[in-house]
Amino acid sequence: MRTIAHAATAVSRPIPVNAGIGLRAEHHQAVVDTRPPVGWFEAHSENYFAAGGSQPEYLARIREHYPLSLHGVGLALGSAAALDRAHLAQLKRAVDRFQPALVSEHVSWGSLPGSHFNDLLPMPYTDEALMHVARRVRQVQDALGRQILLENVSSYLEFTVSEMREWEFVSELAAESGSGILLDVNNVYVASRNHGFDAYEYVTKMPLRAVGEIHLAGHSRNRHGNLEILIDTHDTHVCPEVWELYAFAIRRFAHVPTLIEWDTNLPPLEELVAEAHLADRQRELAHARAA
Amino acid sequence: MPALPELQRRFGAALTAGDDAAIVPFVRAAGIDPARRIAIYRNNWRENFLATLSATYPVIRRLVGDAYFRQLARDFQALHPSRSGNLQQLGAPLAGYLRQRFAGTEHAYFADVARLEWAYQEVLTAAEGGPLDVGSLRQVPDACWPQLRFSLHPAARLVRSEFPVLRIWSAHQPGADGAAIDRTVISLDAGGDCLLLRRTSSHVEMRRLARAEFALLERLARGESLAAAASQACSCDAEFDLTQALQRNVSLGVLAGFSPGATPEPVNGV
Repeated sequence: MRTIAHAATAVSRPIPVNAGIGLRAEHHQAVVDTRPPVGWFEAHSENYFAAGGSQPEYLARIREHYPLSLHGVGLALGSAAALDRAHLAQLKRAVDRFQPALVSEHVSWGSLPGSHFNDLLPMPYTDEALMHVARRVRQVQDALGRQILLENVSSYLEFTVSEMREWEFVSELAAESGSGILLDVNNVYVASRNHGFDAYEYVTKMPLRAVGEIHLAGHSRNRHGNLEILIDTHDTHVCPEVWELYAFAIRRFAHVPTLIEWDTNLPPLEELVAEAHLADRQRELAHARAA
Repeated sequence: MPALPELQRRFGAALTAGDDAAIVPFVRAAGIDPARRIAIYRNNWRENFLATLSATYPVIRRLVGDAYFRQLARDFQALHPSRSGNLQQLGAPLAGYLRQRFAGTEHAYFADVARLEWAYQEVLTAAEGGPLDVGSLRQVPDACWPQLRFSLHPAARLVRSEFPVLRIWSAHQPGADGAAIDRTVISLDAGGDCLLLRRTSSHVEMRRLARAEFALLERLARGESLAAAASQACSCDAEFDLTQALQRNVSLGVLAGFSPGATPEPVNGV
């Protein structure tokens, strides 16, 4: 398979190495009023598609003071159904307006012709799927005129038709499409527990120069008889096992920016800021130990 | 092995129609029944939809109660699945759905409430616009005024209802006591509202308009000439003060632009 150099990720990083937090509407006013000491913010792209009103207004104000990443959840890159050009055009408008330092989406599908599940559904890891997603990622990157990062998702099932491991699929996809990788450490942990693979091997196999961002989040546990399935809920603190995996990952991806995601059961802004500072401390500790 | 479109079609059918049989053979069990794994995604699909609909229609939810709202969302989703990767659009068809579902029942007013709540959402997110160039408007020659076309601000909405929807809406806001909708507190026989919704710097304002002023704005919003719109307003109210209505709506920013419209017919032919 041909390999494209990840030129764009290797150069300047306007997003600082100290951790950022996911921006939620409930925190807009507090962010504007208190300017919390975090490195940057990441916003869900679709939440700021509105042509006017207070939401894009807030984002523009916050953008004046912080580096920004736009993180999409609705392009459904892995869907066999045609790419939604209207959605892509709206994303382009948001990118043009807010000038984010990073733009990202997911390695997942989410729609059938005429209907949308508004979820990050798992891909079969086949060559066919790989070529399909890579083509669409190139289409998106061409439309936006920039590289995007692709995030590994949490999943609760695997398809028997898969021909490769998830990390191979994600790495090959980045190589094939020229995209970068958003390594979600919580998702790696969740998927590793749900499917019984080695999370540390996954992190080790991620191509060094392609990884341009790391996500951390909380998850929940559902019991099914003797087994449990971890669910990616973004509604709580990062768990100890994920912090440990993060410490390992951040030694390998030493200068990659980290983001704390917390989307439901939102705590006060200060608690999110504290979680970001915890990530900063973990990073410093990991680097001190490595030195 | 099914190709990608077929695999996804089967997965989708498992979520929406509960038809697992065609996808189960392609899901690894690994200790947990594939049907339970698929059920996690089905649950996410329903819960995400419910949460979005619930955030868009808080008054409907309060009127029907959480349990019934859940059922309503499920029935609505089956007929009107989300069509966009942007969740904010999925509630658009609810008023039409409720109109059909509750037509001729004592709950026929739900459709009016949903229409108002959707208009509220649209006002929150619509584009900026205006202000109207008052200087240029003053320079329009008298003869050209009848043919002027005014445009409404993109974030202004007109809602005409069959039922007293503003009272119902207000009584079911957070902190309000949720007045009974019967003859004792809010009577459905009280008649409908003519409402103007507009965005201010801090909130969405909802205001009752007199029928004449509502008719004027409604016709202007449809692109009709000032003459046609004014004549409709005067047919509602012979005393209608057109100048005052125009001034008020220009200064509020409701009228956000104008264009000359068709050239007036010369009075005596060519």
